[in-house]
Amino acid sequence: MTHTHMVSARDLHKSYGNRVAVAGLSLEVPSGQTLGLLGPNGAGKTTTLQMLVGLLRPDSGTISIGDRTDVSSAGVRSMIGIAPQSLSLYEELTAEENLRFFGGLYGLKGSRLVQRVDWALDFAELADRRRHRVQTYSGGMKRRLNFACALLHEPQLVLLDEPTVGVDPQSRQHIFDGIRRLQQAGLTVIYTTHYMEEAQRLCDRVAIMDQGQLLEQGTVPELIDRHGGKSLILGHSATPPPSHWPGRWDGQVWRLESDRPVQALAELAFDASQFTRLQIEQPDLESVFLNLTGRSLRDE
Amino acid sequence: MNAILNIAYKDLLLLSRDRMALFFLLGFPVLMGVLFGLMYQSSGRPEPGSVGIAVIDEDQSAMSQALIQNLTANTSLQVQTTDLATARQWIKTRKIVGLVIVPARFGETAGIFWAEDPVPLRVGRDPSRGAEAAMLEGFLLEAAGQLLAQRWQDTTETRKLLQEQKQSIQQSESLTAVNKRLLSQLFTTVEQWVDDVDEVTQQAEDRAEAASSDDDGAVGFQLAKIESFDAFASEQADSKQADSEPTIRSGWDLSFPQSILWGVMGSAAGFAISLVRERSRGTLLRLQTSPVAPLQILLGKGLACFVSTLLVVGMMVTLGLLLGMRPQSPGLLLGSALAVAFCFVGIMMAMSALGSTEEGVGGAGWAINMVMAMFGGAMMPLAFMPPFMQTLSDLSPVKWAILSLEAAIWRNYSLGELGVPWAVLIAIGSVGFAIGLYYFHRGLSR
Repeated sequence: MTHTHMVSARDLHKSYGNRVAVAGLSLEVPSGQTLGLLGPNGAGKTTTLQMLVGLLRPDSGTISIGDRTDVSSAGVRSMIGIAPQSLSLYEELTAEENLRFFGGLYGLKGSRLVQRVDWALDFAELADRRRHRVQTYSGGMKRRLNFACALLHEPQLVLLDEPTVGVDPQSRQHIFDGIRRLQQAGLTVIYTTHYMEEAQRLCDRVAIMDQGQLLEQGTVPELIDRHGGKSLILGHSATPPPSHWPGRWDGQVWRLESDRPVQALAELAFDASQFTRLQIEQPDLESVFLNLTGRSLRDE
Repeated sequence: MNAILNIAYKDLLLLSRDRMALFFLLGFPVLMGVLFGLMYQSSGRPEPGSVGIAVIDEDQSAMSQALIQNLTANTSLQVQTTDLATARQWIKTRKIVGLVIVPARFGETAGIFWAEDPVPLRVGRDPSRGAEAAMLEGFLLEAAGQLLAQRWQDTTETRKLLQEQKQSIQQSESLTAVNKRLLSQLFTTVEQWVDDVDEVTQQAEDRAEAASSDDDGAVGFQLAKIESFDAFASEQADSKQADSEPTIRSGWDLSFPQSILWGVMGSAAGFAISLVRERSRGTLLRLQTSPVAPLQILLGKGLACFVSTLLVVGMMVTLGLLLGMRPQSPGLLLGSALAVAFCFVGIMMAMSALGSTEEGVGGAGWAINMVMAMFGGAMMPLAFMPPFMQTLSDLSPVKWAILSLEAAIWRNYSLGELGVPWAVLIAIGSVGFAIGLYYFHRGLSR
């Protein structure tokens, strides 16, 4: 059965004593799409994920996965694969033993289990290290195995909680490739991160969270259009620009904000030779976050 | 069921990969058990020559020599005569438990029950070895009591003492005439009784010679004649099934229940941290988000602990058999082992679900074990405890565990008699498991 939305959460609230972790969060993730949950540390991303998989009970609000609202049931859990932020692996066991154990928890056995373990080892590019203990792996290899464990039982919904934290560039690229394979296979993915580049690069839609609240959600272009602000033209020169030009000159750099920077330059009868360097900075998710919260995501 | 077996297998596999944990779970309890076994070997009685004492003989009389001979004859004591300074030095260096000063004029009143002002023996002891010193005082009383018998066996000496006492009474200025007469009559009666003792002794010696008995024919008397016998051997002798119900065959029969218990407690304490470790290493999250119920997770962990505990018991029993332990009923021993393992797995479950850090659970596990062991008689015999502590010991699973193991190894319990200890152990284990499940489940549904 195909559902319009794989995940639907309405008005979720969760507090720990006086501290509000999630306040009135509502979101929907269409089947087959990748949603990025973007926000600084402590924004409530992990709490949201834990409520979605039934690890935490919301104080109020409703969650449905597919057409089911009993998110703690075995049936729903079999639909979900999760790669937690902290590595969830037995370091004393080999990659193969870890995968066999976790596969067994999802009812895989016999030749099916062997087949899926082989697939996961290939996916993590650890086939040649399958009988080595996890404690001998690099951080990136562990992350890849952690990711592969989430996919072993062929879930319909994959939750990735900060999967690239502390990962080398090579393993990060491998994880990105893996996510694209999941997208091509039509899986629904929820991806939490505080790296805006990753959200921008991988996600069909992005939901921006801060202090337990969902500030905005939409596609990346939609968010930038709505909240990104104007592009910034930066012209580096030893001489000031003509006096009739709009913008500001600080003695070294001329700055002009514009919704349509190329057109603005053309209208000024722009002569490129008058600048030693010319930049156009387009708004991105960082700008969106800055405009929505008044703070920079990178400062968190 | 597959999930439970899967989790149990994984935990045992993890155990086999961690050499340090394996040692503390299996090797250390065995080591500790053997050490405790060696300590318990004598069942509370001192080993021959294990209580060293020094005697300072300031009297140098026949009676003081007799006292030293009596002490030397006690096989539990190692007696050395020396001076006071040397004896004190030996106590300081823990070479001896205590010293006995036999003061001058001790022999004049020793063994005379009517002596008005007997010269006391003085005992100096190592304050840190109170139990052994108490034992020494007991041995000293025994030796002094023998002096009384020895004094009365020498009838010539006794008559001389009685004459001296009668003269002393006549010369006394504090006694009234009536009292002097009554006391003189008393001692005259005693003299006649001594004559009777002489006559009876002579007759007994004659009969002994005629019968060529091995007995030396000596007839004296003792304050109380004590015979020691094995209560279980006596019961066995009355039983028609004597051949099929052997009694204690080895000292290890007595010591191994405690030893096994230490192994079981070590195993349970070791496994108690496994659930917390799942939490701290992040793997609990993956278990919790899988389609496995909390009950299955706990049962899987409990099964692993149960198997490892039985493994420890099996190792300990095998070791005991090699050393000479001979269980009366292997079947009941298996039943007791299952009940004991179940009980301590349940306790482990409660501890692991209540704690939040490996250090906390590990420390609390051993602390609880120590308290249970102390109250349960695994550290010191229950008989040494005050009555209220003996009553409290009924609450310690260690007491019931030791009883059920002893019952199967040497106490000769029937299946029916073992019902109570087994039921208590299973009840405690069930309560522990219920507490563990409640808190584990509560932690999941925050």
